[in-house]
Amino acid sequence: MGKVILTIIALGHIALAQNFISQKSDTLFPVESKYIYKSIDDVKIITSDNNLTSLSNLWNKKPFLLTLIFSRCAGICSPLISSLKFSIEKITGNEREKNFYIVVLSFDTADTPEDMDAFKKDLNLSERNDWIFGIFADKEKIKKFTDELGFWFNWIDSIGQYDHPGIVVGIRDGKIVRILVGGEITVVKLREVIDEIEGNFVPFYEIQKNVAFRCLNYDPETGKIKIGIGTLIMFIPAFFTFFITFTIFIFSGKIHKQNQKSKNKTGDTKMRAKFFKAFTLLFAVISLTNYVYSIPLFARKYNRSCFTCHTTPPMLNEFGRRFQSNGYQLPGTVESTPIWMSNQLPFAAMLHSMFTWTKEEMGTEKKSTFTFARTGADIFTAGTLGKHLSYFAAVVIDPAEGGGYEAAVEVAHVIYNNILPMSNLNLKFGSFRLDLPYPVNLALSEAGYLVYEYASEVKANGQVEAEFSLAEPQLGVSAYGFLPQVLDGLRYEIALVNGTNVNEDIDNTPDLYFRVNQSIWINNAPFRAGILYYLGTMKGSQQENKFNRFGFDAEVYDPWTKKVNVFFQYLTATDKIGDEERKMNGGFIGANVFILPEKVAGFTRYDFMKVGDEKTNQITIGLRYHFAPNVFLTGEYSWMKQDTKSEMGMPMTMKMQMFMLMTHFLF
Amino acid sequence: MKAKILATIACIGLFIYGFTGIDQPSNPPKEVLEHGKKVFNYVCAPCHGKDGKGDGVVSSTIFVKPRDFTSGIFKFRSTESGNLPTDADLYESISLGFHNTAMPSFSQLTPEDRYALVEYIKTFSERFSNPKEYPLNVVMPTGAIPLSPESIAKGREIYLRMKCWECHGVSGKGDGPAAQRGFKDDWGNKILIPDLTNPNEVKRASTVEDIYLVFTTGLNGSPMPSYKDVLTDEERWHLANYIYALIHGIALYDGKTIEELKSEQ
Repeated sequence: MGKVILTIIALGHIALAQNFISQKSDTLFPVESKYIYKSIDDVKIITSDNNLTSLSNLWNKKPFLLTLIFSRCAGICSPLISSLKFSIEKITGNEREKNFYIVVLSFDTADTPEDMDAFKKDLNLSERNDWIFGIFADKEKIKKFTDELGFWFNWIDSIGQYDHPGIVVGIRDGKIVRILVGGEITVVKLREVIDEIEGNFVPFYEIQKNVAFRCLNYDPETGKIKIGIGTLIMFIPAFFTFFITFTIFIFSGKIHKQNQKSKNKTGDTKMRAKFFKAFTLLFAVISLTNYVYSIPLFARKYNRSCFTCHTTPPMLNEFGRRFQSNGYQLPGTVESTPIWMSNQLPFAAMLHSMFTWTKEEMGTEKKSTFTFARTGADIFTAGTLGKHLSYFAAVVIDPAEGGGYEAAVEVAHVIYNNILPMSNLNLKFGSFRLDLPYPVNLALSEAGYLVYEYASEVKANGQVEAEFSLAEPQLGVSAYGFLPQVLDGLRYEIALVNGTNVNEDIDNTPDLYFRVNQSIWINNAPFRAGILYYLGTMKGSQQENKFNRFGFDAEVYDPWTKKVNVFFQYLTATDKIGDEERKMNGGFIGANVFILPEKVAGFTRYDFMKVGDEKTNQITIGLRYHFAPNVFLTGEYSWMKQDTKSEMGMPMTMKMQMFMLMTHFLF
Repeated sequence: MKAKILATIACIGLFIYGFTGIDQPSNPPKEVLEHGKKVFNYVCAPCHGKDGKGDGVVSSTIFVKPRDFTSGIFKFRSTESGNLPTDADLYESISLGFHNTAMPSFSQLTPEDRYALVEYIKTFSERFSNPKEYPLNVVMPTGAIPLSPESIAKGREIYLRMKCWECHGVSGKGDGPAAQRGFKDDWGNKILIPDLTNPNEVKRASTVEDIYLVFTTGLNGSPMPSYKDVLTDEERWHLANYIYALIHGIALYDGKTIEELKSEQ
């Protein structure tokens, strides 16, 4: 009952507020909604060529645009008429015969028809019969008439001028159809008004208050109605309400009880516990490891916002991809001023903190945890060392177990850029991330890509001696580039790396990575497709693993709004250790939606992976909100399910749900 | 090799000669246009689109939209309201970029690249090849009035009298009553009125001449009109001095300079 009363009060408040808005009195400008479809007085006017007529004589022939000025005006009147003239010519192509008049009347009792004729001549409109300049024949009726339009004027002695707003009113059949206000009349708005006075139905008016979202938008140029962001936004509260309600239902509806575990567990139960812990650790590592790279120091260097290169940090837009390919310099340029001669500090940092709610299920074992992770930080440094020489390094500082923090150099490399011009060929030395189709450090989602995280390894005495995954940085050398001259751009990388995730190299066999990706633009929306191949050998003290990766990827942007980006990756892996061969195949498909530029973005992804009999599926969905370009909040929900077998061969299903709230602050 | 040398000489020659484009449409060599197209597609197309319509893929994720070159309407010019920009205007825009937008300064592009871009950008709109658009009426910023407290004070008076505050606000912060209603440019994109006390928000105002030109030429395609016909040259210089002082922190919004404030204390 309480909820019903609250709902009624809420809706009533909204209704009252709307009513209040519509009854609100004019301030400096007329509130358009008060005057729409009101009739105006049929006053008599004397035109600039001294003809007496009435407004009804005009509107009975054609509708008209009406504006009010005075000939001595040193302010807004001339710019207003000039912009009106310019905009009308843009719309009608300067045709002499139009379907409407433009009526310019003086509200100044001192003005004469000759004054208005001179004004008309000054504006080079003397020969134009569609422009009617004039004065009111009956001075007593001026005030009443202008009040009908919401127009006011006050004489100011000190400057010998009238203070008044600039307005243009659309009149059809003696009724006000639209009112435009301001010192300049733009083409877009005027086109709507002309449409309406000519009798075309324009179903939507621009609401005269700040409206961030609309469900439907009317395009006056094409006359079409398009779905707006507001339609999507409408569903967001519903989605979050459902999600929060569902979460609370699941959490509170089932009372968490600690199972009374027997002291003597069965072998299967012990193994399940081990798998459970390993799975949790894997999920935590995948989900909580922060790979975000977006560098405010470039924003400072070029004095531009982060969004010049990022759709939303860290994800790069097309310009940012070319910037990166050009050795972290503007595309088409080759910089030579080294960082020590620049007045910019070549460092940037990112602070991040996270709240997570996790629910894990394995068989009958269930566990929920709430966690506030301690704030971590990433430090970046990058820049130019000389002509064709630049560098990049990132240090990650994360909370250590048991307290304190630990720091590690994640990547550090030198780039010889633009060996061939237009970033056709660059060389990179040091530790770096392989140029994957969807770089893990540039993703919006915190949930890792399962197939990129998949590890090839060698063991000694049951312990992992070395491992490799595509997601981790490698040590080596890479030749990479971007060829803009090949259709709409070809990206490639050929790298020789140690293949042990920047840990100590355990053998002298370099691994090979190759990737190529081709872009074609349709209506300026990129369609990309590519392949990647990795061939590696890991020689441990007891095992040798010959492994590979092969994948193909595709990505599209919707060619209409370019706000939706859909991407796909399929990847296979083969590991051969002795006579044993293990295969993995899987991939992911996802979408990013750039809901409001520089403000709100949504993302979702489905990952799938099969290794032998083990299947893993993961779904993630999230929303990012920017308080500022460098301060943002991300909410993300992930669900993972793994079907596997215990050592005893019993089928096992593990599920995990995680809700994360992450804050990022870059400076 | 020979062709490349010839093309380079042609570029440099036209670079020197071709920086007019004031009296008649320019007619650049094919090599220049091809070079311009190559640079444009690599550097500019992600934002401006390959066809120059301003709907490159980046445009969907930035608030201030890239310029649509096909309309032939450019805001920042040295020519009178309604006119095309000169080649030098376009070259300057590429070289300096615009604050508070995603357009960086491309001063590191070679002059040949920038000149080729200018010629290629002009191919997007028929206006540039229409002889009726010429000659362009170029505004020469002559008769500059030195920056002084008196000029700043006069500029403040004009700012109030001309009702600049209706959009730009009494304090210049872009919070005038008209601004709150929301403005759109000719391409239907929302415009934010800049905070004139924040140099990073004003797109182009490095010098007093820049600001004087804005008042004289207006910003085509935007609600900012030209005041050439309603303010004298002298008044526009005073107003430019006031706005410059506001942007660069030399004076407060009421026209009082920092020096005056210090001397009062």
